[in-house]
Amino acid sequence: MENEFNSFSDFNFSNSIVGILGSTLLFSFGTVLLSLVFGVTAAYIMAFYRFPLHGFFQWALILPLAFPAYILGFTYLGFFEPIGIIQSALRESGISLMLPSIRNQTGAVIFKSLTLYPYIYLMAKLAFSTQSNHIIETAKILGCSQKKIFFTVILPLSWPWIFSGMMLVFMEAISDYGMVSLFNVDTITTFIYQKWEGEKSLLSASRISFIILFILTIIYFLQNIYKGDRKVFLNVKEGANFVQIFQSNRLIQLSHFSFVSVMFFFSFLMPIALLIFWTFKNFQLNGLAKWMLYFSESFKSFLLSITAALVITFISIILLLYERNIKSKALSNLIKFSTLGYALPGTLLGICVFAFLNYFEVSFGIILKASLLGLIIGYLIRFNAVSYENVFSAYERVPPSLDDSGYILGKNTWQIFGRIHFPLIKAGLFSSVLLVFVDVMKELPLTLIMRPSSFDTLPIKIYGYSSDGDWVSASLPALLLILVGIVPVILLTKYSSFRTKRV
Amino acid sequence: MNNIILKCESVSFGYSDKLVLKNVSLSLEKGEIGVILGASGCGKTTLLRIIGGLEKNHLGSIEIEQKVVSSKKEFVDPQKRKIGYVFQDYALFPHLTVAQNITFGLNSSQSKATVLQEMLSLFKMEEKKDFFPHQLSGGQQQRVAIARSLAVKPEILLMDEPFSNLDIKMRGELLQELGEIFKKIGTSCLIVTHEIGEAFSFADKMGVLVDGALLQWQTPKKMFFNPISKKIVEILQSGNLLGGEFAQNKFHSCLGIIDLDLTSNLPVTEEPKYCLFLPHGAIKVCAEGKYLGKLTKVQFNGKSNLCEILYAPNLHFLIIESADFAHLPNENIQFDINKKLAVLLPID
Repeated sequence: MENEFNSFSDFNFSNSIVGILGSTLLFSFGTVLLSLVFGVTAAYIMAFYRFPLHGFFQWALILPLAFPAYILGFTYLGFFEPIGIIQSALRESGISLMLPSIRNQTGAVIFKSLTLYPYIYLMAKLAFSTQSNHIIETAKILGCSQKKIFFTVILPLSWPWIFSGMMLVFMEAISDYGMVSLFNVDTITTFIYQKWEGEKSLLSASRISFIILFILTIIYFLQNIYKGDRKVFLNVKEGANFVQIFQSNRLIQLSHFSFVSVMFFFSFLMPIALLIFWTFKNFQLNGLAKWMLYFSESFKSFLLSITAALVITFISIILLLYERNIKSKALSNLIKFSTLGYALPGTLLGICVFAFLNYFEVSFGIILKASLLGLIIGYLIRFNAVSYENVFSAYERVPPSLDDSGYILGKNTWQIFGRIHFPLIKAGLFSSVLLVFVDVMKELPLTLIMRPSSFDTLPIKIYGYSSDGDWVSASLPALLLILVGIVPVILLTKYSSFRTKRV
Repeated sequence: MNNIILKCESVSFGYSDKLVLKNVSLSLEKGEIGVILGASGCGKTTLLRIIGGLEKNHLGSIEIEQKVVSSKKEFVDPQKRKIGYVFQDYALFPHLTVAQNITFGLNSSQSKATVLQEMLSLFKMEEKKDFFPHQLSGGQQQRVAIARSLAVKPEILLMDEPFSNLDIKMRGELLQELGEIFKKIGTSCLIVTHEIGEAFSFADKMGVLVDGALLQWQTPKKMFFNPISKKIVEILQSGNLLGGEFAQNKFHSCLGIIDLDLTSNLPVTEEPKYCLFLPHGAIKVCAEGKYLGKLTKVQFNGKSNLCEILYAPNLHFLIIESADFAHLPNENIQFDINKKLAVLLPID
């Protein structure tokens, strides 16, 4: 009897999982496709044409990266929903008009794409602007039209970069929790969370985690296929120049300007304007009292994020010092493997950490499971890659001969670190701390699973308010979070322009 | 019948702060190979780009096959000029195979197959047709780039430093091979390079571009033996320049008075200051030579000997002798001058 029950429950589980898997893939592929259209079109316009405010749009189009997707999502829900701005205003003026709901798969894909297209935009723009001018001129001399040059030469040559951007978007989409749960889309991440939070079923959550791990492994290998092609496809040799700007008339300039303006408006300007509007409304309704509450939550978030950032950066330093001093390929591969956590969705990672901590049983485990320490371990696995990459690039500029000179002059590893490495890599350490800090500040699903009870961070508060349709209360913490999120975007803008000049 | 395939007349080009080309005029006949020699930054690539239609807004005019393709009033797009263009970096499409690269500019599939076969056999690339550019050597990449340009049957092929990325051995082989191919299919070609050897071995006509000005446009032999400027001699390193004074068909110098019969060809300058150009071959070491000097350097380069003779304080001559030249440095030697080869040049 018990066996039959198990088979029945297995059957139900399998059936629901097929539907959820389908919905997850539809959401992820839809987001990739729409981001591809947005990103490549914007990159093509920005790389090959000039028009008024071109310089401004160079970095303005990256700004949506500062938005956690669930914030952009809730601003649009607050705008279009029956209780949102438009329909409330219409009702107040006596007009009864029901707008079609955006709280569905299509809405989620559109608004997720608005926050993720900059990944593809950045990669495509880098690829477009570093193509050899000679290749384009050759195609022109051989009789190709501008359209044919784009589709037969520029696009295929930029494909490895664009594909990397698409993979990033895919991983972000498949890992998304906040956006899909706000838009009532059932995906693997929401399913894991439901199984975990509702049924406290580690087994069900683990089973589905394996599926997502399998998909991510395929993506990881797919991504590596094209990495090797980049050197071959980047055909700028001695004597060649980067692309020249295409000539365009006023009408074309106007259409390009309109396209990027619309993109910027819907992906950044309008949601920001809505958040500011709700923040003022909040102030009118509640005065300063509620603001103080936000600041105490912000302070908690800040303390947690800065602690996590410092711990994670410190561990990256230790890992790199080991890698530097013990020249073992196995150790090096193991460290590289430890950075893969970045690709894992927060919900899945939370379950994994919990399953792992379960082995500690009650004595030590209970402290870990429901404590900030457990949360920081989760962050470490998730964001180790961010810190490691930054510290690693900083260390690349410190030749091993400096260490050897230090040892010969009688210093030990820590003295060498303090007196030689630190002054040389401090910029890398700073950006590591900063980027991990921002990532932790914005993190939602992992914190949701791993946090001690009654410990709320800014994203959890925003998620809570917006789930209840309380856009007004969610607006100020959301603005604060976007402000923090703009910092790495500025760093990214500098980095990408540096890359364009160098490559 | 007029056979001129390319004609540039008084072409000037510049940016706001710099004149890159100054009144360049040249012409090339059907089937001829022209070479423009110049140091980097002298404007030779710009000239090629203007002829190819890749740069606009120049003064003067350009005709291809007796049709104006570029002037103050006319501008024909690059793809309509019936030209081929080979860039210094070859600009092969890295995502396409050799065969796809060669047929890129062709439209009908029938002509694609025929021309591909023709080009592959002409450039001996049959076995590499399915290779990608990164799987080829530099010489093979160069062949594909030229084959791709020739596949569309251009009236003239423009080549920018085509051999600069190749090693000396490959360069020599390719030069010979391409010379034969161009003559075989009768393609006209204009090449810009900074390699003197390439210019002499390849050109039917050549010119030296200095600071945007084309100093002379002539056959290589005339360029070598009858330069019109001291600068050309210095760039081509084609012989020795002797200082002195010229009067009444006589050149007075440290070597004494040299009788010259050059009045008819004498370049006229406002201040008649001249030097005497003695090309390699004009000074010969011989047992009963009129002049006595001291051999200060003998440098064997594998094919010949480059020798330096000190004749008087601060007067050295560089001469080229055969590989079996037996004299050693510090020997006193006698030499003679073949006055018939001497050319009187104005001092710039």
